Amino acid sequence: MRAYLHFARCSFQRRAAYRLANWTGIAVNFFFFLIHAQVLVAFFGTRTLAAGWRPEDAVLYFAGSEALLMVLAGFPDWENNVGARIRSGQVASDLARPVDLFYRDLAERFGNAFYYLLARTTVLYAGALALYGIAPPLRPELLLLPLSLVLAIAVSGAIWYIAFSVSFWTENATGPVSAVIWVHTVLGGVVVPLDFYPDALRWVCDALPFRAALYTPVALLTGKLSGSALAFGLAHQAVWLALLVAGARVIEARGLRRLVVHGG
Amino acid sequence: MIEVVALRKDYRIAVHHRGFWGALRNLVETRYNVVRAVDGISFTIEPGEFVGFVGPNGAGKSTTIKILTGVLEPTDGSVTVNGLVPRRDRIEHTRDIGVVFGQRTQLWWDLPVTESYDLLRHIYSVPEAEYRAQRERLCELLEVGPLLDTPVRKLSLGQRMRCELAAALLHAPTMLFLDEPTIGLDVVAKETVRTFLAAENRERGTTVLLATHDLSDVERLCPRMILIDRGALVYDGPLEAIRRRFGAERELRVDFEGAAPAELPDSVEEQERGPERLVLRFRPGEISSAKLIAWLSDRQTIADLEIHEPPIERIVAEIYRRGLPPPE
Ligand SMILES: Nc1ncnc2c1ncn2[C@@H]1O[C@H](COP(=O)(O)OP(=O)(O)O)[C@@H](O)[C@H]1O
Ligand SMILES: [Mg+2]
Repeated sequence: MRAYLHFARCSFQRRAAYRLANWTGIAVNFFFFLIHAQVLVAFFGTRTLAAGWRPEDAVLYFAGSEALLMVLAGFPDWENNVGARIRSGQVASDLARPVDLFYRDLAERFGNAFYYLLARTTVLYAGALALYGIAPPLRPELLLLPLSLVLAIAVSGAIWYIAFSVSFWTENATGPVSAVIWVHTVLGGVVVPLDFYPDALRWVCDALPFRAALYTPVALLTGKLSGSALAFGLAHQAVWLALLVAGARVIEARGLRRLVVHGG
Repeated sequence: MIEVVALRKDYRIAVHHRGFWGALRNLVETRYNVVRAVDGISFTIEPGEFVGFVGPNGAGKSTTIKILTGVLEPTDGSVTVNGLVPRRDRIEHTRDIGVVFGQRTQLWWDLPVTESYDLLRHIYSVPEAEYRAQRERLCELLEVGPLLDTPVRKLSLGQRMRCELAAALLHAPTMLFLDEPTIGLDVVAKETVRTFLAAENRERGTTVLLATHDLSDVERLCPRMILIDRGALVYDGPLEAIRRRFGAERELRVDFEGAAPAELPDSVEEQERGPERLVLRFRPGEISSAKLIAWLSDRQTIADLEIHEPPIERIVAEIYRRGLPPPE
């Protein structure tokens, strides 16, 4: 356990080693937030949007989603992932140590996430809300945010781990992973909030894991989840985490089997 | 103790059909080529031995090391290390071994070396006091103390390799597996590494299996050499016996300050000739290097010269051609 905490720590520090990247990252996230927010304000002024949202609800929501996007790994880490380790042969060095491939990867996701939480989320969320003069909703439900974030980070970690696991079978994982990015973005319910989706699509999103990694924690942060919807959101996260971890383990076992038997 | 019996390893490589129809065919049928990387080798290594594992490129050294370190599963045959089956008992097995794959790094590229060391301490659950002592000892012997706060990506190859060796030994393993750790190192770094390895083996009784295609590593370090070629065991014994059998053939490269001498002593074989350059092969038993050099400098002024050990490929070819030395 201590070892995995240290993997997280090293991963945190690796991020921190590139301070310039963080500032440019903040700028990019802020840029997308501004586009979202300005488009909304231009179109709706003070009129109510769909689903009972007022424009400031939407601005708040997009402040939360851009602020948390990197924490929740809306996009995968292309440089440090199991696929890259297989392709470079680094995986041999990993396997020659008493370390579990999957939990090590997950620990690194948490290290990254924690870094982004400190270095990016705070700056972005505070900056975005200040710009529009919106007060963050401070409600008791927020106490559940850490739990939801932890579940979400683990869910997204497992999703990307599974996506990159195609490297056990094929040289090039870019195609499959890109496909997952699309699905993740659309069905994760953040670019356009899940609340605005037609019922049929919402139903699909509720059945699949992606909203557990994105929509649920963002909606919780921005005060869009309470009562039974919140209970469903958290239960959905927990159940999908269990399923994804089990799935990742099965895929990893088969992939490793292939790797150690046929090449590596 | 390491026991390898009739070890075989086949790699399977998917053969892809080309073109559009080929791509469709790939979906329904996959054909494989089998590469036999290790072809039935057996050996035993006792605790405390320092063994050179030698062979030309592609001989199967890395494959064997990967099997011994629990990375790959043998296709056939058996491997046990201290009673454990490396692949099956991976976690337990890897706790007690140190591994350096010369081409890879176990260190975190963007972080100061010391962070990787702290991580390794936790991976192997080394108690704080032991870790401190071991780290201090290794830093001193490998001269890596001043490098600890440098990010790994800023280290030279020689510096990094010394850091890698320390990293592999922080948990004081009883066995060390090294896959070409001296490749690409300059003379000074090579010497530091070799001196260190010799001391680890001598003073702490660490068993070392050193894969290399550089015979001077073996000459300097290994009382015993296991020589493999194309996956098969060619020779297992002291390097000295091979030397005696085939003579210690040497290669001499000379640059002259003028035309290279036309004739050569009888026992010397001409490998290459340029207008002002010669590459010669000779056996010190037949003509000493001093005599040969004197002979050459009598005929033309020498600008520069180098003497080389024969490369491993030539030794292997000699063994095929003339047979192995009789057992001692
Ligand atoms: N992952 C792999 N897939 C297919 N063939 C491989 C793989 N790794 C090594 N080989 C082949 O196996 C043989 C032995 O390689 P290796 O063990 O790396 O030799 P060495 O370390 O002695 O140079 C070579 O022919 C090499 O091409
Ligand atoms: Mg090799």
